[in-house]
Amino acid sequence: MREYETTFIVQPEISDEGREAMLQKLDALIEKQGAVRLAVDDVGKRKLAYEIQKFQKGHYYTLQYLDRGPAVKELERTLRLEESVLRFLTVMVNQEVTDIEGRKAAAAEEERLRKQRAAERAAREAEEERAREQAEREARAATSAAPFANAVDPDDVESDEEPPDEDEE
Amino acid sequence: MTNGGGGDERDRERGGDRPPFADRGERGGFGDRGGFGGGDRGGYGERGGFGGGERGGYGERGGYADRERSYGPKARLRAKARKKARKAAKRMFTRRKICRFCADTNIGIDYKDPKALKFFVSETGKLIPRRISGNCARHQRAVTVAVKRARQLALIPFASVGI
Repeated sequence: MREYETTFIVQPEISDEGREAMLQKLDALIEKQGAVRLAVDDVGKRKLAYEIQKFQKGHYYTLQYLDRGPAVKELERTLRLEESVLRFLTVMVNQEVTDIEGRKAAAAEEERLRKQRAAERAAREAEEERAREQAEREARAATSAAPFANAVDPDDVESDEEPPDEDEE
Repeated sequence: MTNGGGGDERDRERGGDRPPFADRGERGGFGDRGGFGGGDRGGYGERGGFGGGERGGYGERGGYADRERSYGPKARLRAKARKKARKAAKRMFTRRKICRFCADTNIGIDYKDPKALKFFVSETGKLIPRRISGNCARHQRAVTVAVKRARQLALIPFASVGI
């Protein structure tokens, strides 16, 4: 069997559920055509190098699978008909894969690692976001506690204003 | 008779530089003339230059004269030296580049990695030639394909307004 890789770009406005549903549809299609689905790489939203159908951003997916031919045709037809898909590109990665089960396992492992890393990244970003919010809230609390604290900052340079403000703080 | 002797010597000298049979007949003719001229050589008005033993004297011999002058043995040597110097100068300025994909076989060429492909396109999005990027032919081909794929997927621009 040959290994193929189809990368496609989905409109950025499509909801998570919509994208999920589409992926499931494609998976079902692949299996139906007698191909072996290996993995899906959710690259995520990224800026397009140039505008496509007036969209500046797109959600990238890479679908890997083993096939003898028919699934590629059917998959591309489906993607072409799908309005929310901005662009797709199928590339043959490997001319001949003999160890199908082995490749499947390796791909599954890769996918698991990718997901894990993505989850970690998401968690880290959420953590940072929370920290930032916390800091902001504290800053706001500080300003509300000392209403003149805000006034001090822009007038820092003016020395005649400074002494009374500092006293109030 | 010094004239005649000089003529023979020159003939031999020139003969060494030429292919063996290039002008046998003609040279033979000259030998005759030299011999014939004998002591009276100076007397020949047209051949005055010859008597002096200068190259210019050969002018009368026709087509060969010019070639002789510009491509004599010394001129040829000088030309050779110049060529060598040019080559050396060239070598001095171009450092031999090594294909980075050959140097480190771990780096693959992936059309999905726009950051890595940035090294092989100019600021305006054009492919950088091999003579500048230093890639070997095989890897440059791979890079070219990868860049073209990445362009289709809007990962890198086809062209961007530069500068």
